[in-house]
Amino acid sequence: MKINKALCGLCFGCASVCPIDALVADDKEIIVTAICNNCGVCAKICPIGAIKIDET
Amino acid sequence: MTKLSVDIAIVGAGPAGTSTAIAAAKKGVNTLILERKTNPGIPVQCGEAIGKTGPGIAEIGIPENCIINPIRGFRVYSPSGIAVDFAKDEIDGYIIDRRVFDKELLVEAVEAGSEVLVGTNVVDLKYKEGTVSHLIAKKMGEKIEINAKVVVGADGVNSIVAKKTGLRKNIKAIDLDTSVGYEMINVEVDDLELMEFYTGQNIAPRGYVWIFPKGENRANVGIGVGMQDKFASKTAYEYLNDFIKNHPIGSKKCAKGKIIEIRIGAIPLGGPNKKNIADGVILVGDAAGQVHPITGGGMGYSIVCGSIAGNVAADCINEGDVSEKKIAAYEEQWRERYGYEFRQALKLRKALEKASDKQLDELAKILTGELLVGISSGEKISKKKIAKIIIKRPGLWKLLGDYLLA
Ligand SMILES: Cc1cc2nc3c(=O)[nH]c(=O)nc-3n(C[C@H](O)[C@H](O)[C@H](O)COP(=O)(O)OP(=O)(O)OC[C@H]3O[C@@H](n4cnc5c(N)ncnc54)[C@H](O)[C@@H]3O)c2cc1C
Ligand code: SF4
Ligand code: SF4
Repeated sequence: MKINKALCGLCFGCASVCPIDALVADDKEIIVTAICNNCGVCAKICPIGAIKIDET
Repeated sequence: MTKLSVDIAIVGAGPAGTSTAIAAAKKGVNTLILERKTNPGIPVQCGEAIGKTGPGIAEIGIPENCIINPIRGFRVYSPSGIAVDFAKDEIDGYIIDRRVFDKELLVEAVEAGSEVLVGTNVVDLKYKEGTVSHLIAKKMGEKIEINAKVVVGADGVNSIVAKKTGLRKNIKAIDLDTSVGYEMINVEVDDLELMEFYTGQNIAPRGYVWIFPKGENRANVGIGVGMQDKFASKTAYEYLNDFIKNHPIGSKKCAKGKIIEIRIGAIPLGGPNKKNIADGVILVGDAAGQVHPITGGGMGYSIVCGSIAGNVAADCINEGDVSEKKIAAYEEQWRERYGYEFRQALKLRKALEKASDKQLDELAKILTGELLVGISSGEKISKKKIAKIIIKRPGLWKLLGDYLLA
């Protein structure tokens, strides 16, 4: 999973819905940690389409 | 490493955190707000409407200098454009300037005696013998440790306090509305004193588009929609742009509109967490899920619940007992105020999620503004009146019957 930082508006929606808490946020960016399993849930709530799930 | 010791540490300087701090500091307890933003209140991620549903504006005490435009009511447009109006004779809400609003509440908290550390990100919460012992934060890069008798999580939708205490691990994606808003110039509105809402499966699935007038030719135009695949088939951003370009009414109003601000946000609509307290811990505002499950409004509730939290926390500290049992007074008091309303609105939202455009149109023909206000707060008389009308309409009865009878 990748976040397009140019689009991200820091709504924190992705970090709040991630079932395994794989995203770490501060007020400047969202960091994807190694435990992310590319499940895709976060991409479905991104208001601006900034999240792309990796192709398998 | 800096070590601090306070009575109450409040994480977050949004309306929930500052109103908690105001109440607590006024009772003379040693209060500290930790806010990770260097400029609290910015960016604005809000439609900026306050009042109408939920807490009355009188009890919130809105700082004068943040008021932009008084509001008397609303107009809801059904998918095919049928309008349902509600308006009071007197002013019943405001469109505010959220950045001034948040800032003024922070000023009030500090003037009441609270301390505040901005640019301070809380990164962890440590336990000792089963109770929270301290917070770890980074203040402009420097590590600090804060020991507090009571920790208040007023840290919004992605609350670290809620996560680390286990009171809300994560929000279910189906319970989150995803939102984009523009502030625009040269937008036409029907009436400066009415908020406009637009509904429809292809317009804003499981949500609505709002146009909130901010004065002649100036308005907030925004949208909230449910998650993709389950409710939506594209992003909130795409729906909003579609509305502005193609909606039969919206496109005319926004034809000359110029966007001067883009706001991106997430709104928790799943209702309050089961529990918002633990030994020495209180959650308030978005962190607690104190948001109206249909309108997505949260500022008013945050402020009233924050005041309750601050008062209870201060009393517990002054009496030397911050156990969950004692702090439960907060949970009881705020649920007494809003528990029923939130439960009802959540049920109604779940029913309305399934409504087709045809059903929404049919409802718009039947409902008056008064009934709409009544039904979304779960008012029994309104529910009865609506039940009487729709009992003869099998489609609508199937949709809403259970809710109206419950
Ligand atoms: C697009 C949008 C439109 C909305 N429109 C309206 C509306 O018109 N009317 C209405 O009433 N409500 C509206 N709401 C809801 C309303 O904005 C929220 O309910 C309200 O802001 C909740 O206040 P809060 O204090 O709980 O949280 P917030 O206002 O989110 O404040 C939380 C604060 O905590 C800080 N924080 C978070 N994590 C940490 C950390 N780890 N360390 C330190 N600080 C931290 C944040 O920086 C932030 O300042 C809208 C929401 C959105 C997203
Ligand atoms: S959901 Fe999208 S806009 Fe919101 S914080 Fe995540 S990546 Fe950024
Ligand atoms: S893809 Fe799944 S695991 Fe990875 S951050 Fe998004 S929600 Fe979390």
